[in-house]
Amino acid sequence: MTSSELAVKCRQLVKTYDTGDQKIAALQGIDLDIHMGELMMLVGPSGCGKTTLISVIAGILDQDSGQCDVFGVDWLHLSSKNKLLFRAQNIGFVFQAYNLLPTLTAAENVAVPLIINGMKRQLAVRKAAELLEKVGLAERAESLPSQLSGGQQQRVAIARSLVHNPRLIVCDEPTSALDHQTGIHVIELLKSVAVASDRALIIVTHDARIFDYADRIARMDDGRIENVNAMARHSEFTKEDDNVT
Amino acid sequence: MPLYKGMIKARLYDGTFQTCNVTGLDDTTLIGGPPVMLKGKLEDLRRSDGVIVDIDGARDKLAKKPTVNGGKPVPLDIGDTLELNDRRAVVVGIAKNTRTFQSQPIIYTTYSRAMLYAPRERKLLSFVLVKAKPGEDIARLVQRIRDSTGLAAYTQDEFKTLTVNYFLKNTGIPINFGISVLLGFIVGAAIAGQTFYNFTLENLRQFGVLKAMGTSNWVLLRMIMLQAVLVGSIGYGMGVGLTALFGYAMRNTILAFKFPWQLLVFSATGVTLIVIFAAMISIRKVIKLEPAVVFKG
Ligand SMILES: Nc1ncnc2c1ncn2[C@@H]1O[C@H](COP(=O)(O)OP(=O)(O)OP(=O)(O)O)[C@@H](O)[C@H]1O
Ligand SMILES: [Mg+2]
Repeated sequence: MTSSELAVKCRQLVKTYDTGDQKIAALQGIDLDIHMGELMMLVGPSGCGKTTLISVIAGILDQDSGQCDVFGVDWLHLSSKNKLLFRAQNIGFVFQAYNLLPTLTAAENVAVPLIINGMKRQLAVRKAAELLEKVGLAERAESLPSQLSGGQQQRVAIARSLVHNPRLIVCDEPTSALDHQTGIHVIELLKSVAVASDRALIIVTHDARIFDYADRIARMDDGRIENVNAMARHSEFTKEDDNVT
Repeated sequence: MPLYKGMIKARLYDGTFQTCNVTGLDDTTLIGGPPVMLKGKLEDLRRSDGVIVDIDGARDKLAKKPTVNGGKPVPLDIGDTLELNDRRAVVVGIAKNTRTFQSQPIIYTTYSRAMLYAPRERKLLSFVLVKAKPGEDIARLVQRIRDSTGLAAYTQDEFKTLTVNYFLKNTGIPINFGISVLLGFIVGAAIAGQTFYNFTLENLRQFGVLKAMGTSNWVLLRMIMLQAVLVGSIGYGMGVGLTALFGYAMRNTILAFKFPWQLLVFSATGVTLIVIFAAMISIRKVIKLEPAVVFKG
């Protein structure tokens, strides 16, 4: 896998919300590349469009104009059925609010992406339990989300985002509902189990304590990418700055 | 055959009065008597002053005072006497009757005795029952009676319709019942729909998560339908169970309680309609749901 292989390629991405009485220009021409094997963090002030950008990248929101390729496929060129299929196979999600299904056990929650992809329930739950072991929750496989702490729930959510081996994982504020120590644990876990040479990670955060774990950080403001900086500590990508603004 | 039907005041043991529904049967044939005799025989009516009372009346409105203070009233039994319009009447039988909406006790006696009990009116003949000879064409017979007597004559079915129409036109019963049923239906639909819709709204985020992870609308639609069917079946089961229980509890009272299978089908249809209605609005909401909501805090 070479660094030139792109997981995500955004060109002049524009998205405007129309709330009836006003139009909000959330994305005003985004250019951004994310490489395979990379952990990219997206930072910026509240309301600058971070969530909107990763929603478009993850294929759950349509842009108004511009191009957004994921593994060489433009979301806009997919039929709605293929879009679902592409999402089910290639994208993993981690949310700020965990968003586990409250009536399912930890293992069943982790199994959901596999079941969506057509795997038999029993096999899926078994695979899920294996992955729970990897995130340190082997004994909590049968617990309901309500019986788990916030940090444990986020670890279950991380296992769920990885279980079907997606090639792109998008995380929106994965640590901001957690206290400092737990947040660090969760990002360390993400870094250790999720980063792989055939996979890209994009994490939206305003949590400065975890910036160190990024390979590169893209700073956004007012619907635009201000700059993209490689983190010095992670030298795999210390080629010339990929800033495209 | 002559048949008398009228309301007569009965004087009870303790001196109080109770209006009773008195039927005077043809003296010789006793046609038109109660469907089931619990005590005594229909023929006993021929004994002097003999009357038959229905079990519900005997137990309740016509019952004698408790023997001990605060005890249960003693049901009227064979050998007890009543006074109908100052004339002695001796109970010779207890009958079981089809229940009606009217709650007066029912008393059977012979036509000729009913004439004595009844307050004076110019004409006391209420009905004449006619039994057709086997093979006789009923419609023609009816016509013949009309022509020859100048009285109104009806077949059994015609008479039924007439009675039903009387209730429909002259009493508030059908309208009140209709309004109750309609109201129950609307309130039921509103509550069921609202509850189910609320449930969907509460779980909208979960539906969004499933959508984002690639679940198709079709699968979500099936999930909601399954839920709706489940909720509907539970609600239906509970409703039918409670109604049956109510009927069971009412079995010893004089209230009419009928639970025909048509009612089961009717309410099943009603519940199904409510469930479909409730599920439709939820399904609409979920199908229109943007998966991007999952990132909203
Ligand atoms: N569904 C929507 N309808 C209308 N406006 C929206 C919608 N979602 C977001 N916006 C607006 O678009 C802009 C960008 O929102 P977005 O959620 O992408 O910002 P953000 O960078 O994620 O903010 P935060 O750090 O607070 O999460 C904001 O002004 C926001 O109010
Ligand atoms: Mg956001």
